[in-house]
Amino acid sequence: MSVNILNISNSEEVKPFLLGISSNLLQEASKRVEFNSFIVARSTVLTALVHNLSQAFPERKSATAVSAFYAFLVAKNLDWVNTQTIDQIILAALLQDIGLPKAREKLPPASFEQFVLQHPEAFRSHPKEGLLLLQNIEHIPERVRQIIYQHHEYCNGLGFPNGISAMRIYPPAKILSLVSGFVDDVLQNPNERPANTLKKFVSDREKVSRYDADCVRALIKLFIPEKSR
Amino acid sequence: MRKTTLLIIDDEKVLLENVAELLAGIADNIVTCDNPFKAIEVLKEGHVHCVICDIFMPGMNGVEVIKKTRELKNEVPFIFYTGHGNKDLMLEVAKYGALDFIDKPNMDGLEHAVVQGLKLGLEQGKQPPDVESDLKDYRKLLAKLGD
Repeated sequence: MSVNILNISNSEEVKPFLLGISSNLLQEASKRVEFNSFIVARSTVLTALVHNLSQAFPERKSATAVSAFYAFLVAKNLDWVNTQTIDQIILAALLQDIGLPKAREKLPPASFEQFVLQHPEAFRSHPKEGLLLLQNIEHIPERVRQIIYQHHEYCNGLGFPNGISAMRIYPPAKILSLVSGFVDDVLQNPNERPANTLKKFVSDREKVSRYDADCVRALIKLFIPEKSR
Repeated sequence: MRKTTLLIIDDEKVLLENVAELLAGIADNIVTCDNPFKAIEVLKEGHVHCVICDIFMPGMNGVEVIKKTRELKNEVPFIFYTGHGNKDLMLEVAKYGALDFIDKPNMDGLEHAVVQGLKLGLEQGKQPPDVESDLKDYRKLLAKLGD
């Protein structure tokens, strides 16, 4: 059974993907993720969008849930991020892929992996579709829409949809971009401890050059025992 | 320490004055412009560390202002006020880089955004660390992870 995105904080299923992170931090993360899940659950439109995603791509539910936790954890390790921004990044993490069903709308059903490989152009339109779906929802701040719109932009300028480089990427979107990339690797290696996945992730020069250096440092620090920091 | 200059661009004069008053203690100098064409002239001089700009203005909208600024090879941080129904403008503005987006009318988070913007604006032109030094730094941190 996949993780229910509207009840993720109680789920045991995210825990293996967060191994090695202090329990105090995880408790804190859990509270913030639960709060933002509640914002989603309270809105009929948002709930419908998340439901559509889980129907079209059930495998993205875990990625969404785990990303929301890492989004909190990385953001908390960066001194320029305040509480309000942390919540907005978590909310964006929960909604980051709502544009996927729309992006695949006119194509035959396929798993997420097949969709990415066989229809890269359509896949690359999902951040824009996500922004458009949220455009008329009044209580969603523009910041959240922009994080979703830019969550696949890379600092080396090779991301999408606009291929903008480091200086022009909306700073909170840099956090979700890293988290999203790392969580995909973590979920693809379910038998590996996240810290080991991180070592490989950071050693991949091409991959790590996509991400903001301060965000990468903040991610690594999550796994360093407090006494060694 | 270098003095900071904040440029506020909005066609609504009352809002312009209110925002300038709100931020008086944050920036050393505040320049206000109710005409985006005049604002471009200010930006050409290049002594601005952060810009707050309305997205909807008659004659020239916020996206055109940032686009023209970038054409001047000026990467000064921009903070935009946004309202609802700006779909096309919001898709377009992302291409030119925006430090932050503040929703009208409550302006939540504006002061924090300006503090960050001015800090970044002062750092403009500094060379960022190269990839090699970042990688070296990551290796040092990874060594603390143990096996």
